[in-house]
Amino acid sequence: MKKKHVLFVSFLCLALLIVLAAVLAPYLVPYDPFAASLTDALKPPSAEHLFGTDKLGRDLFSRVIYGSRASLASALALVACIFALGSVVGIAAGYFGGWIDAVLMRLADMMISFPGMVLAIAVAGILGASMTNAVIAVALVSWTKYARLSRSLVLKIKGCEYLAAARLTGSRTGHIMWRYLFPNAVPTLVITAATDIGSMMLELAGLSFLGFGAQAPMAEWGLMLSEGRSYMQKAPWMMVFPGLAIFCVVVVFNLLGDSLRDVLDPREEE
Amino acid sequence: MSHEPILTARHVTKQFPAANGRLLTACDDVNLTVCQGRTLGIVGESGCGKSTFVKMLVGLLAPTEGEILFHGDDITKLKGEALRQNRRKIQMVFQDAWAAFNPKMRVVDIVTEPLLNFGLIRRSERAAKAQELLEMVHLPKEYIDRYPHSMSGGQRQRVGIARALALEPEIIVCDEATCALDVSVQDRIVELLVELQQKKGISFVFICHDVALVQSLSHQMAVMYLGNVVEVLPGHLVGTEALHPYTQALIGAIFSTRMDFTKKIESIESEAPSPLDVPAGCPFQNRCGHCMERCRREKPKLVEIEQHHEVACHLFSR
Repeated sequence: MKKKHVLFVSFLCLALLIVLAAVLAPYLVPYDPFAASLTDALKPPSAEHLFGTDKLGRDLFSRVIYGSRASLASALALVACIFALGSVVGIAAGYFGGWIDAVLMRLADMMISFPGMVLAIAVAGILGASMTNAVIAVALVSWTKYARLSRSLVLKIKGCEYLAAARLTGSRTGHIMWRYLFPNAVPTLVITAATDIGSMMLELAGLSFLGFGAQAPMAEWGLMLSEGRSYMQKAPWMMVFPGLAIFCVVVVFNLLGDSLRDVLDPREEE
Repeated sequence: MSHEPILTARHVTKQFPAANGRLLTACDDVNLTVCQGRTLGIVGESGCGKSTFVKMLVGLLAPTEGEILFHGDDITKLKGEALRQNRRKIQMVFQDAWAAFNPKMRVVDIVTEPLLNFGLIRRSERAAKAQELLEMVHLPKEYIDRYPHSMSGGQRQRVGIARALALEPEIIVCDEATCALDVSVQDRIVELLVELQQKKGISFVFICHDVALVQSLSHQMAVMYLGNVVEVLPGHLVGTEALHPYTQALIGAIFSTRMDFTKKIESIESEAPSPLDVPAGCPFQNRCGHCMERCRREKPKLVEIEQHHEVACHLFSR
């Protein structure tokens, strides 16, 4: 097995470990993550409470583990949404060209011309603060990347002789899109999506931190950071551990995306 | 067997808009006929408009002017489903066997896709039909599960021919289908095409810049220069009867191991003018040794010298 495959498999294992932690959370945690016990409030990390406790005396270790559920689920849902929406829009724009292309791409340009986070805050603010709305808000500002990418991939494929051959042999438009454009564009899109999981998680944690995403008492890393902010000096562990969790997960998914690119990159073969 | 005309191009002109509002004339008033069960060869330098012309024949491009009649119906006006149905009858083998196949599809999918597109076979019949098609082009049956990128150039071109054959078309257009191949492989592909023509009565339009190859294969050969057809004559007469100075220059430039090396190899002086500013008069005037005053003023028309032999040159017009 080549080195790049070893790397990919090891990052895949790490990512699966994270997913497993999220799925098996109820069996892994020593305490109920939502049970407040004010007598135990703001305890530093100890054998009893590995990561310490927060201002309501909830076990931080349990909350960090449970937080992976919210973060992973929402980040994956978000990436799936923008992947599907963006590539459909991009493939349509690239293949049909003309006014369809113009309309779709001007729409994308409009989205890009705003700073993403500001627009997401505005959308989340209008829709009301909740995790679902945070996902919708970030999706609305992030699909453009996939649309532009898949459009440029389609334009490249469109120039190829095999597309002329496909039309010549009587392929219908839907067939060409599904059998020709999508499979040839999808590796690049998947790589982008894999590297995006980390940054999307950060965006969502950011929105939660600002109060536009997850709401108390939910266990979500961004929200936990925000809760710990006012106790930063008295109980730094309240920020350190959720922060570390975000850091680790984002790094793992970014590296996974990178190694996936190395594995799928055809130019390096042979 | 009668060799009736089945595809006729009449006054076909194709212009592309170029920078600064100028027009690039790729094909200028081209008139050619493809007869049933026969091969029409088209030769000419790169950029003379032969590829543009066949793209119009197969309906990948629409001509700016003129009409293309297939069994008497103008196919340049076809749209949507009618155009799609018409594609069954005219197929094409592409020049670049590397680029002509979807890299994500196996041979079995490639050669049966046309049949599935028209609902002519069921999905369960794919493997059997693909094997049959591969047999026709002399490829091992096991190749149906291969990807094109794991095959050699000659094998890929055979897959291209198998795909073109799948719909049992009346006409197959070969756009420089052999020029990327080794000479030995080239010969075998040409043999295959001739064999298929004899078996199935398919008409071929064969584009190439190798005059020697085209003349050996074509019943009629058209010589194109700068978007114009300058001479049309039967393939077997090319060596002896060719009249147009450009055709003669092309023949003079043929390399062969049996040629007389003591003779100077004639090459044509200078470059062809850009199709953006085609001079008035004869397109070949600036490179022609016989250029007369009349050639600079008046563009020669294609005139029939004998039966099946037409030339566009003032030297031969009466």
